[in-house]
Amino acid sequence: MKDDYLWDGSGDIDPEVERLENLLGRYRHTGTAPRMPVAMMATPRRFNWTRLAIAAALVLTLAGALLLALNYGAGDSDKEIIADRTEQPAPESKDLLYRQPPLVVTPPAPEPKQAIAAAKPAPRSIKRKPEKVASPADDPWQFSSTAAMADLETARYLERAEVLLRSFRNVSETGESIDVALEKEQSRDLLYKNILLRRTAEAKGNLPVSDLLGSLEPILIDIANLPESPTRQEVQLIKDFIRQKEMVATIQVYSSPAISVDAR
Amino acid sequence: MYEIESDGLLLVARQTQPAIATEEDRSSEQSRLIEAVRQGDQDAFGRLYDLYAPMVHGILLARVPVSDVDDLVQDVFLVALRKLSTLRDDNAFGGWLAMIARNRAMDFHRKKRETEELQETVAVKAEAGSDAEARRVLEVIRELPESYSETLIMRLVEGMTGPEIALRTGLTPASVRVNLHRGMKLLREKLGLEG
Repeated sequence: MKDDYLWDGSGDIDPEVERLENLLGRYRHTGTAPRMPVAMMATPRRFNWTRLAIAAALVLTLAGALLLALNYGAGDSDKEIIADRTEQPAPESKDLLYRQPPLVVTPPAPEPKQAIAAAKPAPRSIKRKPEKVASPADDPWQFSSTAAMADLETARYLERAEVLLRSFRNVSETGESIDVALEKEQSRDLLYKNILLRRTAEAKGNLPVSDLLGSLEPILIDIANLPESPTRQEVQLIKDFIRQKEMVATIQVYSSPAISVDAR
Repeated sequence: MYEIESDGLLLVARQTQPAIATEEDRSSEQSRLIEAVRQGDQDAFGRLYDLYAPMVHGILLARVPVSDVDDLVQDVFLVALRKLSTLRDDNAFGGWLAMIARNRAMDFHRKKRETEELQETVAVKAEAGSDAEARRVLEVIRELPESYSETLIMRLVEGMTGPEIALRTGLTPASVRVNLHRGMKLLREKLGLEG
């Protein structure tokens, strides 16, 4: 490709690029790292015998105090505990079932039929699932993207991006000059956020989100880099691209489930 | 105008699988480095500086006078060092550092006095030959839109390749490619060169 040399220095040498490299190379960075502030540098700690002795004395004192307290109050407290237990009413079967979740999973023994009958409604009250729950079986793609998108920060960001793209799509081209100053500014703000969120998504292996943010990035760059008074053609090109890629619809698909998941 | 972008994006999509392993390796290595810096390891700080200083230098060179850039690079790294505990995701270090550099450049202009600007003008007059040409080209690059000027300076001044710029700044390779291509086209037009 023609730009290979500009891209990574491979391919045929572009004489103009090479000349500029040689000309501007004099400004290249040559400095070395500053020294870390002393307060931040790691220093090997010396073993402090005094601290160890104080800590040991504290532990021994506490242990002694605890033993004394147990010896003095042992007799009466035992009786009280027994009395308390006898006064307590026997737990009801429902409470027992509530505290024994394994009953829900393991098949019941055949003999105590009454217990089984009582056990059946209990799992319902424990689970209390809402009426509608998305499951991977319904739509695996949507489920995975929904789960992946359950990040409120990303969802909010996508909402802002959606508003920006809608706003840009609706920019009026009828007047003599097209005013996109607000969209440019918003686009610049969103661009930096886009980079951070995409890197986070990549690190988490969240490929659908990282791909979406990756597709959004060139559009944000183009809007941010529009001249002060762009021509109709420049604006129309970006609008066409947004339309071709169906960016607004895609963002909507990704952001809406995320917000509902978060709300739940 | 968008064909290159589309090609770039397709290229990225095809390379996703093999890229993940190397990306993970790089991320974990970088995370280890950042964690070591948090623990106060000066060597790790030096290695992190070597990796990211060209990017920071490029960002600053696109915005502030040449004579102030080196000092500001050191400032940026010291600020980053102080704030490193607030960095939530180590993988976003490049973008985060770039943001600090841009903010530092803005602070510099806010505090700058007029007398310092005069000194810069005098210095330009005293130069001759290739120095003056280099300064003129640099000024033209600085007048380009921000993302083009930053990327072009990292490529032409710092000698970073496109993939390296993408790796350090956190931009996608496709975005960097587009920035380089369009930025170079604009630069050629402004310098009156034939593309």
